[in-house]
Amino acid sequence: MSKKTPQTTETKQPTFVEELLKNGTAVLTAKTRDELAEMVNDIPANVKYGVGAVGFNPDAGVFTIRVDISND
Amino acid sequence: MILKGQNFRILVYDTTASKFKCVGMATSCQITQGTNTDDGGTKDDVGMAAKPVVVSQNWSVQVESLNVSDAGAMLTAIKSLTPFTLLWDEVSTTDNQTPEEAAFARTGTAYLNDLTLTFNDRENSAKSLQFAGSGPLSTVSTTPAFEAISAGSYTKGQFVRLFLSSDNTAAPVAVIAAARQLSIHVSMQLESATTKDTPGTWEVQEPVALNYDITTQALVRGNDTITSAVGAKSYADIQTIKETGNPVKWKICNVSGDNQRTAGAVIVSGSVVITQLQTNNPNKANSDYTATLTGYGAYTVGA
Repeated sequence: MSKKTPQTTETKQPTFVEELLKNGTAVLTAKTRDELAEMVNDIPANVKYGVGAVGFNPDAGVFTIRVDISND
Repeated sequence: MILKGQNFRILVYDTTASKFKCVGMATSCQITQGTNTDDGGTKDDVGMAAKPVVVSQNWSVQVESLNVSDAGAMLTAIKSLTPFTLLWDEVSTTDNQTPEEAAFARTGTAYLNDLTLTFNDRENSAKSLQFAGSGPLSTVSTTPAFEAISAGSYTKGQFVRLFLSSDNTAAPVAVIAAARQLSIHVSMQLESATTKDTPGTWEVQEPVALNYDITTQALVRGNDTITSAVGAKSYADIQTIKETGNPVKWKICNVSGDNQRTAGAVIVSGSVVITQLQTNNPNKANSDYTATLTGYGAYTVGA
């Protein structure tokens, strides 16, 4: 009988949050501005961060925002 | 061949990557090297000509860029009063980024002492950085540790707006109605800290104070219902705040929605006092007003 893989209730952090925590900075990319706003909202509440202005890269057709861990 | 401006770039040392990186989306840069002189003329000199003798040297760098994605990082950097390591050099014509170790290349430590972020309606937003050198400039003899930057994004000014409250306790939820222009200007006051202990002729600077102001320009609306309808600040509201003279809270944020009035991620926030309000009403043209808001205490970067 094959062993059942234990289920975990822990939610994995989005990749950009991992990158943010590791490097202190991350550039978030999304197809729409709303999607980008949702991504910013996914940053854990205990992380103090600062954001830049939402930009648009016409070559890639994506919206971007830079997030930095705050030094305050 | 005469060097073109795109092949003369300012690079900033990224302490996380331990590498120099070009200032992204730069449109121009200016480097100023100055000297202070004492009049060395004495009675021993024949004739009337002055005789300036160099006693100290200073340098500064200004960079203009269309990249405001790092607005939060820059606002934090100027507030944290920490110096940057800068490099200017000729860069390769193949990528306009790779340093070439030109004879005029120099590197040194400088404070970001002036930062202006501009968000104007239907224009690409812009950033102006001014650095004041502190200490010596060194020539560049070996290839500096360098990392290429990736393509940046344009931010249209209408997607970043200023919101105000009516007093210094309420949250700033009312957007400036019919706004056209917005800029925030932060300046760090530096004082010479050069002493007899300082080697060479280069001046050393030390930050002593930080000031900021926000300037917004908007059209004047008559007695219509915009204020009550969307919670916006009109000319009359700004006038009341100005005349009351008390600080109010503000935030500059990313906005969305049909009229770009729905506040999103906060770029920066704080308290201000409105110190100047001017309305312009030329014949056969729209009336507008310009308000200058002077920072009251420290600002907060980000959410």
